[in-house]
Amino acid sequence: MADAVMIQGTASDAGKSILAAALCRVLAQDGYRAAPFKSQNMSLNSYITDAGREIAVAQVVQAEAAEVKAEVNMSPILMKPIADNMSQIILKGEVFKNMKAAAYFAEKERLLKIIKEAVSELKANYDLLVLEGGGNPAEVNLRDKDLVNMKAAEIAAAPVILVADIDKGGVFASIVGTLDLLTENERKRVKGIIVNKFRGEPEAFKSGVELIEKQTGKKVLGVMPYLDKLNLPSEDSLQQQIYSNQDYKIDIAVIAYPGMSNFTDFDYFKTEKVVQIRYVQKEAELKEPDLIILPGSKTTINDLQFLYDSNLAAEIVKQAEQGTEIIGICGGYQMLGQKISDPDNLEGSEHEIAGLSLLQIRTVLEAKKVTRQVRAESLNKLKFFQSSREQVLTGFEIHQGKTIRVSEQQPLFKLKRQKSGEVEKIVFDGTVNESGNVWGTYLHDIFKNDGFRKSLINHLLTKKGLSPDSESEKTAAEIREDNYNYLAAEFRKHIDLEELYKIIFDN
Amino acid sequence: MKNKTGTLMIQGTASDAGKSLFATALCRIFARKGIKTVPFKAWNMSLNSYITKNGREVGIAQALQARAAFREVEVDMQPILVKAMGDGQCQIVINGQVDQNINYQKRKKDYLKIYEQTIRNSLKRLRDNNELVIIEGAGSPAEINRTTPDFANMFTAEIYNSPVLLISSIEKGGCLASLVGTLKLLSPGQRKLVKGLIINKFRGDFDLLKPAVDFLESYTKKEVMAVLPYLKDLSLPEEDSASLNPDQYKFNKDNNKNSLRIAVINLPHISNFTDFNSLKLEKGLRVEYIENSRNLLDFDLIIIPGSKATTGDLKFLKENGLAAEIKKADQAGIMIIGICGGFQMLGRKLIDSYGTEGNIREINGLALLDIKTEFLKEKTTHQVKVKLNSNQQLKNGLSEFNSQEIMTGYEIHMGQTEYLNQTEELFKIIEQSDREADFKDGAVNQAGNCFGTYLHGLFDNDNFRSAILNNLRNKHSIETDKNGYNYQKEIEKNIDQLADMVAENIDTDKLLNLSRR
Repeated sequence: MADAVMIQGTASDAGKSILAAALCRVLAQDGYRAAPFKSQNMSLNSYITDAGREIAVAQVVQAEAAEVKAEVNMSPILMKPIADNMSQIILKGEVFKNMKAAAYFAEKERLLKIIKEAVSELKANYDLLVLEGGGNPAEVNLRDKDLVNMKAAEIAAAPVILVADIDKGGVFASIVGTLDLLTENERKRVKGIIVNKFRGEPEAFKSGVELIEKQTGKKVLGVMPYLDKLNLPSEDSLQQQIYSNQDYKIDIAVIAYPGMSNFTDFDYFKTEKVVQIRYVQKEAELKEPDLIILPGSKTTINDLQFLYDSNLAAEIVKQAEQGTEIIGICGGYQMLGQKISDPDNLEGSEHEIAGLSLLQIRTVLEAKKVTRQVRAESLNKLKFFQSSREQVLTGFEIHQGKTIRVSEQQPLFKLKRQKSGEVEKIVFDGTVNESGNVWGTYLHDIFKNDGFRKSLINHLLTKKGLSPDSESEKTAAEIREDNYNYLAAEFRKHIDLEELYKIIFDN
Repeated sequence: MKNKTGTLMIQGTASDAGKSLFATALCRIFARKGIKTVPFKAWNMSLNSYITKNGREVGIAQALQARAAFREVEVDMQPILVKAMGDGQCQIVINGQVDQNINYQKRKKDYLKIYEQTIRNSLKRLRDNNELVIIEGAGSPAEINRTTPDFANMFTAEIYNSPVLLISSIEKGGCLASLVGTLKLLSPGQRKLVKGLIINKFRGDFDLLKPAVDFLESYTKKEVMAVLPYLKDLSLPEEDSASLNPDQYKFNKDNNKNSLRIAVINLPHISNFTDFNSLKLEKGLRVEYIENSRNLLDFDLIIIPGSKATTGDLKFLKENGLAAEIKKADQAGIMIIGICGGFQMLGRKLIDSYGTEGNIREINGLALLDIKTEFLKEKTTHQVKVKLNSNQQLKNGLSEFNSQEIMTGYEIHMGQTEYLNQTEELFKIIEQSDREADFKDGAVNQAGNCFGTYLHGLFDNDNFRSAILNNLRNKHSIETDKNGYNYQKEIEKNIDQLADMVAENIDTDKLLNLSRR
């Protein structure tokens, strides 16, 4: 059986995810095949595995750091919030059903079984597991509902490392209090502590480290500094409203409707020096960007209604008519069409809603969810991207809707849906309007393709009368690699790895 | 005779638990009941300060709390203020006056006696002259690695054995652990002073939280005195954060298509950014904080705020290219306003022979104003009343403004500014710390698009603010806002709303009895 270690936090923003990613990379560098794992995730940012299963993005990032392929066992339960107290529950990468909290917790036995299976499959296939917890493990009012902290640690027989954020003060109290509220057995499971987000030289907190060790009897493995240079996909929530690069030339507005999902699609623009990206929620915030993106949505009809209510719809249509570039991804693509119907009432009471009618497509929502990685061949209908047949784009589809092109609209891409490396089905996707400035696709991660992203940016620059961006920048993948390695180097520098390895392997 | 004055202290489990606004609410609640109430915070670390009527410098949170208590802010309410200048350097303000720049970490032991005595004296005077003192702590009282007394927290509580309410934010989880851990790390005597717990920033289903409240009460033997909801639309100044809160980037939501665009340069040591709170409430504005170099030509107004390290921050602007962008904007006729440190930066030269501001002895300014500034050891701190100088250029930019109107503000600066080449001042200071005066302040350039002043709180003057904004609106043929709004009334409204919300969720009579025990 493989070994395991779990990273838990004293609060939800203690830095668990990032430290788990750091540890994954360190282990990979040291020759271990590690698998990241989080038993239960709540997020609207998801990803599709090779086998076509939907999982949380955080574990995909950690898998990439661990240099292994993301698989469904790493994130076996995903909750995608769709309304107050209601989530779409994804089990083992496939839609189970929409549930309220009470109904979900009533399924605890089924959920535990899924978690156990996922852990044992991972243990059979990897050298070790790096588990991530959620929130704080000592919320006593939620103890019987715990699936993500001590319960998961117990299932995986994982020693626990507790991470505490020192940035806002109260670090001693949060550590001591958390340990105090755990049960005797749970407390025994905690083998080490990491103090995170220290501003200044970690050396300066030496006396603090000694006091924590004295108070808790637990070893402090290290003090991690505040890392503000890190650039990795955002996890569950948007951290900033504007990501602006010095001397940017292209202004991109992403419409941040309430059910916005997969906004990690746009992380790839953040490292482009000529780009500023803004998340817009109000008409007044839209202004006159060079590109407007309608992202994916977990609640398409609701979010389209939001566009009408906020008057963003009229403004987007107006700017589209003035020639502004508009792109719809997934749910956003559907919204750009003539109408969206929901005959089975999947999203609530509205059976039909008119779209922005910028594209001649119609969408019918359906219960069946398409979740596939795809390889896309461009049909060269986008003027700015003329590619050869060999130049394929990669990405993935996640949608519960079928879109048809009306009249004689031409598709943009030929998608080869993959399942476990085999072509399963070929479909045609996307469309563009007559003047070429409005288009949409189901393809998530399309901007991860360096050639495509660069062509789009150069197209926008040229349109403004600016010269194309000739600077040969690093590819998106290289930038992420740099970040994982930087993270790992910081981890090695500040964490007592020998002690941590002892905890993991001598357990 | 026994002193009957009540004292009640608010401490938090971390720095963003919500102490300051909770204390503000209590000040208003008890003042409305006719109880003579004052706020107190012994020790404050902040770059946002305010000047009392007597010219003493205090943390701005206590100015707001004093106002909530219908009181004029006094230096006793906030006797020790520490202003961080970077690189471990701090300016220590004791009783509202600068002591000296010290390397705080190295020499803080020298200050223990002074701190102790200062805090005791201030609190005694407040207690002698009032009916209720609402005391605010700082950070967490359980930072057990501190090597000096926790002046801001338990040291102050123990002077009169003031009952303590411990407040914790539940927003990010770990609230129970923080409360339990904080209590556990206090000494038995200190723990006894904690009389109640407050859970702050709660959203969601109370039924799910109820077991946690019951557990906390039985486990800690402390009463959970309130569960306060998350308040999102409050427009009170962000006083206490040591640096600009990221939420401030979301500044000004209430704008329309014809918005004026305002850039505030986010200096590394930006201070008194509360100056812009009044802009936050204006309709039809979009205010953005700018820290990276970028083209500024699409803004209608650029503001360079105050700084605790003026020369270093100016160097920062030059190195990252923003200085050049500001000059370009000036040439394009865009309106530029410098406040305090920002005013100094707009001049030709800044000289710092004593190293008051940092390590740079001399640096050229942006040279948009014909002035020169020299930093001295003495700090000028006054509340002031000013009138506009009969200065034609700026009057054109303030067409609707009555030049006879008296405006209020406050000065906090170490530099003295010299006017070169017959440059005229912008304002005449007619009153300084309650005494009649006749001094010059501020300057304006030839074209009339760029001016600077030492006056903090300038935009809180409704007519002046409206005149500046309406002038810009006229320039762009945007409909002017005839009515504007009354900043002071708006602040009052917000304090009242906050107080109402807290009063609804807590037994205020019980708190009052507690304070008098």
